[in-house]
Amino acid sequence: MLGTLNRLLWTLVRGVLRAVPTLVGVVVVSFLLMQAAPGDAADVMAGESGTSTVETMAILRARFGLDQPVLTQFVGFVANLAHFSLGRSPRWDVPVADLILARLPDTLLLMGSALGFAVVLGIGLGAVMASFVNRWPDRILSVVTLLFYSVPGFWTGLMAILIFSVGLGLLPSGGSQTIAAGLTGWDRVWDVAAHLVLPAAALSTFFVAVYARLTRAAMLEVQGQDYVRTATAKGLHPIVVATRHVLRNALVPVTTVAGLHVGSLLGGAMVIETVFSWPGLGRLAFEAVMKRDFSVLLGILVVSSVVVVVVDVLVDLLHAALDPRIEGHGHG
Amino acid sequence: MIDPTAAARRPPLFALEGLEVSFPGRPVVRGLDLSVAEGETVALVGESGCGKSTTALAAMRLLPRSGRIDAGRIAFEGRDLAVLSPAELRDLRGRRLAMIFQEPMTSLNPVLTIGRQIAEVLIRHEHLSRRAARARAIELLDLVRIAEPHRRIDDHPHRLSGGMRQRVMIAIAVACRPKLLFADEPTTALDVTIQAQVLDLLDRLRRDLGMALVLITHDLGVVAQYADRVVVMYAGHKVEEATTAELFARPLHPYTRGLLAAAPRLDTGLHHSEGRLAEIPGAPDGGVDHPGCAFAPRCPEVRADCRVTPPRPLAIGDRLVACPPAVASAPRANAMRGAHDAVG
Amino acid sequence: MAEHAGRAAAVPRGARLRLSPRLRRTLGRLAVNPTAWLGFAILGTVIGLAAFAPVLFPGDPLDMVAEPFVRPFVALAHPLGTDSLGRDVAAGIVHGARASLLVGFVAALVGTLVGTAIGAVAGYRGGLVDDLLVRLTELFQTIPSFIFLVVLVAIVPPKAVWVALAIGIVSWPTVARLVRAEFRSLRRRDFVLAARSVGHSASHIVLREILPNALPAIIVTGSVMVASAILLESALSFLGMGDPDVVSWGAMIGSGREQLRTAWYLTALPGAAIVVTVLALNLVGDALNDALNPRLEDR
Repeated sequence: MLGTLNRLLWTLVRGVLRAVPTLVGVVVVSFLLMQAAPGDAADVMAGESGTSTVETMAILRARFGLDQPVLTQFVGFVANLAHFSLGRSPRWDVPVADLILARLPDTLLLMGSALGFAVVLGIGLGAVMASFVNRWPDRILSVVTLLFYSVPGFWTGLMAILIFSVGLGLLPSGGSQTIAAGLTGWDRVWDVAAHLVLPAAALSTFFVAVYARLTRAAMLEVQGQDYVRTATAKGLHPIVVATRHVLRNALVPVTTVAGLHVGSLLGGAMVIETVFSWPGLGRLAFEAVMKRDFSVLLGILVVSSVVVVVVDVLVDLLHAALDPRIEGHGHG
Repeated sequence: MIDPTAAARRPPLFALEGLEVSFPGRPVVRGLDLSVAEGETVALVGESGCGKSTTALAAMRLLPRSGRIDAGRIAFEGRDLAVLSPAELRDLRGRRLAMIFQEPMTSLNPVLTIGRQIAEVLIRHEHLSRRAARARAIELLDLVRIAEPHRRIDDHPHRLSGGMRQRVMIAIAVACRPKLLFADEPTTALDVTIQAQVLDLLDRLRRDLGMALVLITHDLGVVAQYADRVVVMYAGHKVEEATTAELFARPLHPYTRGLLAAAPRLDTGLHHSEGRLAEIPGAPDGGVDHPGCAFAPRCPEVRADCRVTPPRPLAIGDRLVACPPAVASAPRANAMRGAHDAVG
Repeated sequence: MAEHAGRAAAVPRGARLRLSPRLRRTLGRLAVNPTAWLGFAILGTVIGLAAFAPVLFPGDPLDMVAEPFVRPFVALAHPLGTDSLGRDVAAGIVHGARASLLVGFVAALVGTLVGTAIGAVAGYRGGLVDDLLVRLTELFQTIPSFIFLVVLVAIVPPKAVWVALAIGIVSWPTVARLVRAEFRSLRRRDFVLAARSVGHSASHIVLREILPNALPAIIVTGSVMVASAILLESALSFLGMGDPDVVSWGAMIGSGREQLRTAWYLTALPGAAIVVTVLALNLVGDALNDALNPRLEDR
């Protein structure tokens, strides 16, 4: 048991060490993108207000440090980051970090729900497909998953609104809770859950397909292994063989890929949030694009990359917990 | 080695009657009869591809999805395993019938501790609590001579050597004291030095637990040292069956003679590692286009009618040979008994 | 296919084109696969419609041609109806196929080329170069690609070509990882060692010996990349970040969305076009995968 803990600890250390250069890279890329952006926030604001004198522009630029040399701006950017600050948004006139942190929980809730739903349903469907390989449940589910794989999430969302909100009136079509309802306790949880169902389901369709196909392939691979025959020779029930022996091993590759998809899940959330007016990071990013506020946009890029890195480390841990052959220092 | 005549008198514990197994477009086992008495060690011998592993897998009903039992009875303790329901079958597997496989490196689940994998079968069949199963698992590890079982029990398979993994496989197989154990080339994948230890362990457990053992091997040295009786298979057919002593003293079927001739110095130093089957010209591809004997294309003593008439197994005393010409030229049963006495 | 490409140089020019046995087997497996036929048939139809869009629906599909909100299957002149601005939906969908396919294929091409180049160098050279390129790939895989794409598109001019380039830039890491893995395993194979011992240059070995053998995997990934590029493009234009001068399926959904309650077909029809096209590409990708990497039926 101590060995397991030790292994997990090593995996954690290794994951964090690997994350550092990646995060440095993300910061550099973000800064380069900021420099590449045509015109700055001062241009946009001045253009909108219509009172663009050279003086007011200069004042605006000085206020946001836009008049400094590139290297100085970069040092400032990094120094800010070191204090967990992402600078101040010219458009909202509040710290970027505050804007993002206010929206992050909603996005994580949406993402987590969608991921959980996709993992559970995807692994379940994949297990069924593998158990009935080349028979009709497998064939039908193969078509269904390929369809899920091909449908844009935002369109699924719109069609779901059409059916479940407009048509049947079962679920709310937007927002994350009933506004001004003043709900508390379980009523509030229930209310948020009702608002969550459609966006989470719409966001998860693609990933359900990914995990189902992957689980199917992994389980078929594992089913042919000698240790599965050993398990059958013990007289275990096929369901026990499928779960304890086959699925447990098949989960190792599935978790790896699940981790790889967290980034695309965040990207998908951006579109889904726009469809469902979900007050998360994605909507903020959309608003930032519309207002051409690159400091907010790049702040979101940095924060979402950090989310991906954190999830990567967690997936590594899960991976190590699932596969005892991973020793923590270098893949065994 | 128990007295073969005594073994023959006991009612068979396990019997295959006319077993036919095929994979798509390819028959693998053809009309095999085999009986195993309680506590007996029967060796199934033949070149790879002759259907000996398939026979054991079919008997356990563990054939891969594409394999089929086309005909035959698999009698065990008064029941026919070939028609048993999956639930009844599960109840027997791991409890009354067990099997160990050729590849210890891949036969254990890599993500579960060996303790868990041993305990699993005890919890399944003997309904032990987790704690009790763990205690029994430690005893079993000790029984199969794994040092420091208390520590080893929480190890995962990748930390164990091939020989140790095969010992764990044996521990799993004998955990519920089965009456019959199939050992499919149990030492082929192991170091020569480990092979004898594992086989001695199997033989000791067979004696102590009173199990019958079906030992599948291509190693004649192993056969000579551990088996009571030998069944020689060729291209899915049983070509010869005899007590070990009789077979080695006087092989009758040309194929058996070829096997023994290819294994040098068997009569001088019976060391199993040296008794490998060497070359008999040709390959047992099984694709014979005549109705006669499958071995005819490679047989040094082939006659014209061998290719025409399928060779029926004929009894000489208590042995069987599926080669009429060999039977015709064989000495009388009395002479054979004498040969047996001389060796045994 | 790969061997064929690899040996092509050895065939004298003008010699009759002969299919390598491997390519013939691949084509044979494709020919008996019904899903492959279905995928190719749908894809062919979509490509045909896109190619003949100016003939089928002359004029600018963004022009107002009739009164708004004509329902589908009512007016013969506008079989799929018109939108809130009186634009013909059928014309939009057929012209939209051009944008989607063009962006999809260009993006996949860019992504595949960049990814193959980086993956090939990393996998063949190994060592420090490999470490650095792997880090770079990891970095680009860490940044959520759609958000990265949105940032890129916000920076570059809103033209279809730029959108395609941007999609290619955010999607190369998948190819790079795959190609690196292929190259790492292939570079130790006998035929590569033989080529090296004969004294062939690194570029010859990479392009003529290893690349052709890695091609099947690259082709499969490429075909799936077209599908995901089309999905990315549709999401972008749905958010209103695509090329405003080009009609695209995503943009049609984006504007039709406002009338979801009253004229749902404005959302449903272009979405169905996306689904059908992407599904066809995925069917083709699956069929190519099965044909190029056949698994044994039985062990």
